[in-house]
Amino acid sequence: MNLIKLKTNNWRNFYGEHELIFSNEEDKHVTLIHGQNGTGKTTMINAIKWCLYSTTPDFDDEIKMDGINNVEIAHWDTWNSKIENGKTIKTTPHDKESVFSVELRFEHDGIEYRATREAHQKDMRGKAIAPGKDNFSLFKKNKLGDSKLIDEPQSAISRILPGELSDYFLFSGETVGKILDSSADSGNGYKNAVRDILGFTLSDIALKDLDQILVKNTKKKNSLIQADKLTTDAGDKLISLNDDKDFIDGQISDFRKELRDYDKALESIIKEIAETGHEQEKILGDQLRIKEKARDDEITRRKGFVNEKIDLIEKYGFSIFGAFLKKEVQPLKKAKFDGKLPAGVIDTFIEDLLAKHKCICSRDLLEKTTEYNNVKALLDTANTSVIDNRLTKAFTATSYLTGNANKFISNLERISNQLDKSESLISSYTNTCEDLEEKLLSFGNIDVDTLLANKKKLKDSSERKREEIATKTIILNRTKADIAVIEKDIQKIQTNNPQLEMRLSMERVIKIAKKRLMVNQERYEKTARRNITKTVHTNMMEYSHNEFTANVDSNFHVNLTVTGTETIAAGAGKGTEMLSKLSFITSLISHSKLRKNAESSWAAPGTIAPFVIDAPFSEMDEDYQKSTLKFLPDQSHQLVIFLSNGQWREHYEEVIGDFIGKRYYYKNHIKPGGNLTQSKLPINGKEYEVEVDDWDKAHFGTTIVEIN
Amino acid sequence: MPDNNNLIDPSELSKMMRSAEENFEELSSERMDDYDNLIKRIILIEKMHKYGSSGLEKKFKEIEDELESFINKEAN
Repeated sequence: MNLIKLKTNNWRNFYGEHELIFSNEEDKHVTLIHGQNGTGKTTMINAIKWCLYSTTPDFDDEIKMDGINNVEIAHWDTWNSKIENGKTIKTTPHDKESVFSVELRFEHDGIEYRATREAHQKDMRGKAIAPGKDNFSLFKKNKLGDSKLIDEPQSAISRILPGELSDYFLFSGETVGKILDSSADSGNGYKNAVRDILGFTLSDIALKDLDQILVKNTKKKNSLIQADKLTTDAGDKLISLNDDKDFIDGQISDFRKELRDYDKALESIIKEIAETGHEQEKILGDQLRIKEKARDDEITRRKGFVNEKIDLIEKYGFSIFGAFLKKEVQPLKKAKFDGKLPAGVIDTFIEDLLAKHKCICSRDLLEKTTEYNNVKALLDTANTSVIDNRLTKAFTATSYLTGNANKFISNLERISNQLDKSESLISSYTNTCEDLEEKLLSFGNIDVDTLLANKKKLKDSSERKREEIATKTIILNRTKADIAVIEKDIQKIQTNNPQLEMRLSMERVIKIAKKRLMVNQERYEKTARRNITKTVHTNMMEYSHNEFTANVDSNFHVNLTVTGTETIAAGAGKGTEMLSKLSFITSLISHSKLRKNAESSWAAPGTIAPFVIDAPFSEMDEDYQKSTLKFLPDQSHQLVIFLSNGQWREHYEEVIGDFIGKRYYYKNHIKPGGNLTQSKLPINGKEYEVEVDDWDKAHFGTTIVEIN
Repeated sequence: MPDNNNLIDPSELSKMMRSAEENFEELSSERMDDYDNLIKRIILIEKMHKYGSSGLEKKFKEIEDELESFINKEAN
């Protein structure tokens, strides 16, 4: 499918007629529409959806005046309007007879179609059009260029692009995440949609039809067998065995369903556990324990240093201030000198005698006399040996004290340094522990133990169910073997019954054909998943800020893990997730596109439709925006982008410029004298006015301007 | 007699294996192509009915005819 032209008439704020011609050139397959926020980008995607499927888009719910709900139409002649904050606000309706319509021209399988849908404003009910009140027509052009009206237009549209698939081609940036997220819990709807895009639909239908034909055939075969008396007994047994087989088949099918439910619940609980950050919590817990142990070890070490310090003080403190002094001071004790005059006293005593010129023997000590000189000489000789001895001891003691003091000081310095280091380490470990504890606290009080216990229970249940299935399968195979033996017997007896022979052959051929088709499907699904994974993974490795590994699981869900680990990239960020999802959808379409031209013996071409996307950049930073604009054209069949002016950067031109075949911008017309924002759109060195105050009948609401 | 260790009756196993052998149809590459062509024709019927619905019974009849034609060709 390729879009050719969209034409609207009185569609929301696009008053009067407007058209967008989409680019279909092979190398320039991108149509880029620039628009300010609130000027009608999503509105145009909604116009396509309404035209094709009559789905009523999410209209603004802001206006309900004079008892009239907000409606789609807002024509100059039918409404008075005002602009507030750049947005058109509808006020009072005057004419409810006005018509609004959307026409879409497109090409599919080489045929050009024109779809038109129109409705009257009077048929609006709340936010929707009353059922059956819109008119839809579909024309197709024949080779001569004449248009032919198609009888059942809605069915024809469903065959070209089923409505349930349209969300995967026509969507706004905000909804892509929602579609893929909700898919996780929506049963097989999402997987079926992906399989449809990949081209499985017809083969899936064929398998179901073959099953039904097989059931009918078995009934016919059994009635033929029963009708033949020769084989009645064998027939009865065969029917009974077939009933058994169907019953066991049913049981196995139920078990498988239960198993799928268990596996799904298990997958969900594993995801839940991963999202609780349990693994991260465990890692942090381990780190905390290591740090706590290191801190405790260091505290023990510090105690050792403190003890060493105490020992040191005890040892040298006693040595310096205790025993040595006691020992050295002992000779100076009075008792030891009892009856003797200490040298200092002798000096003073003699000096006193000389000063008084009187000896203790009463003789005069006149200067320069022999007596005087003899007494004076005592100053030089008295107790010299005692003094010397005492001085030597004092020097030895000083030297001993100095040595010990030096030893004490150096040991004290060493221990003090070690203590400082130890204190610093303890403080650092304590800080780290506090940080880790704080981080651990941030995980909250999620009961991971219960989750883990539930996980174990589910795993056990899943295992038990697998065992039950295995046992039932053995019984089923035995029954099948019994059936096969009886059928062989019957076949031998019934060779003359061509009808029965045909039924038996039919049964055999259907079974083989089904098996062959399923093998082909499985093989193709695996290849598709591998190729899509590869593309998504390559995109993620090339464009994501962080290194994430993308994996597409058996249900076609994209899972991101941190490269080199099995940790789910729960905190990858919305921009990264959006990038992976867009990448998945485009690579899915790209894969389907590649297969469209490939010869296949079993599958129809996948659904190929243009990729129409509104605001693809929400949640992305500039790098991701540029990356998206780089891979979207590469991996799209036909690409239509509605881009917010605020998100456009001139340097994006270098990645997407060459692919652009058609380009437009929205011009917003406001009442003269209104508040112009003065904003301009810069493209290729030119600046385009996106807002003007020339509001009149010819220029009203939003108009579309082509950039050549 | 069931094997006490494996609880499998050897005679039953032998019967199953014999039956499986009799019923097992190894498709040669030529036969695979035949079946692929049959599948292709069935898919074509599905496609025609998808793009122009004309009743489920009619579709089943067309598929059954295709199967019968395949069986008849096979018999010859």
